[in-house]
Amino acid sequence: MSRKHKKGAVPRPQGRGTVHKGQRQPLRAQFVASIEAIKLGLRRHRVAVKGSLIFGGGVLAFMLIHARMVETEALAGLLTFTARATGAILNLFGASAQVDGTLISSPDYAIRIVTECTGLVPMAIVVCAVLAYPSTAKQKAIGAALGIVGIFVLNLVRTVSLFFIGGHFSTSFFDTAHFLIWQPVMIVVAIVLWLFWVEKLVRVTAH
Amino acid sequence: MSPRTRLILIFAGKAIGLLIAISVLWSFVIAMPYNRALVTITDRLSGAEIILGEDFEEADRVRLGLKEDSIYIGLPPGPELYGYLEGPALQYGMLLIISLIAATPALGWRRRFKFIPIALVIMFALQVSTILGFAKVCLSGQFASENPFVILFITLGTALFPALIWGILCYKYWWPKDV
Repeated sequence: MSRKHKKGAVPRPQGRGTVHKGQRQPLRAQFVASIEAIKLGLRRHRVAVKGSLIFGGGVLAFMLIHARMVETEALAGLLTFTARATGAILNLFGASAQVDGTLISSPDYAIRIVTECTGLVPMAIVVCAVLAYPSTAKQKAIGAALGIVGIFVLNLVRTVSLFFIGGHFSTSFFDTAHFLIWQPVMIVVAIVLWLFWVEKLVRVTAH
Repeated sequence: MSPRTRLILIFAGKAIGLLIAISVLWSFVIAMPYNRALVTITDRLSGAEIILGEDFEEADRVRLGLKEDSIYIGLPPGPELYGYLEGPALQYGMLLIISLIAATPALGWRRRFKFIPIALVIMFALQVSTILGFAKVCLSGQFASENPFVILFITLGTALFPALIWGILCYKYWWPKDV
């Protein structure tokens, strides 16, 4: 005969399932307890779990789309646009730069814009983080747009500065600036843009 | 300006400042010994299939080589190059993670000194795995350095993992408390 419990009350284990001190739980009971603990943990941290899944899915989707875009040369337009914008800014500073497709050259130096020079990876990180954070569709759209524009502008600063560094300093200094300074700075800025978006747009609205 | 906005700005400034300072030290002092340590340990883990050699052209087996600051993978005889990884492109994650942890506001020095070695060990293990994976792709017959998917995987991994490790280790210090 089953005993009725009040709604919400947790029934205590009885009979054969009761575990005393010093007595080992059967393997099945341990397994069930572990599953329950995992379920409880997932329920308690559901916002973080959901966010992580969206973030991971977003990154995976980006990788697949990006690989497809490189194969079909769909990124050619972005590469040329980045090269032209970099060339235009360089000419504002009197560098006499000429742009031929993705190649930017001047009497001092020449660089070619490749896929990694477009800032697509930091952009993808910001967009995935924005999509993963609990917020409205409008807030997500604003956050993604701000992230993409912000990283694109910063990337132009990066390409222009690297052109100048390449033309006036040694190769080892260029490598240091290219890989060891600008690459991590782009990621730091991506994180900071996301934190600003959370602080200024999402949390302010929520309060 | 709200206190939290000020904290974010301080975090950004400190992280970028630290990055510039550490990059100079890394570039001129640590990069080469680190690269060598990375390749030596990867070589030991990879077994007989991939072996370390100083001079790429003179090797007589499939092996993982180190030349200047790049890691070369090839199949001799001859200078037939199967792929290469640029050392700094692989290693900037180390600088990034040190800067992120060191710049995190409200994180005590004891925790910083605890988190930074943990993060560096994880990053080192990830870099060893990356080289091993890259070498496997190279040895499968592809010129991996020109494979967009492989390059993106490495770029994304190098950029994303430090951010993820920082995010997980310092979760309490940046995640808004009301979410």
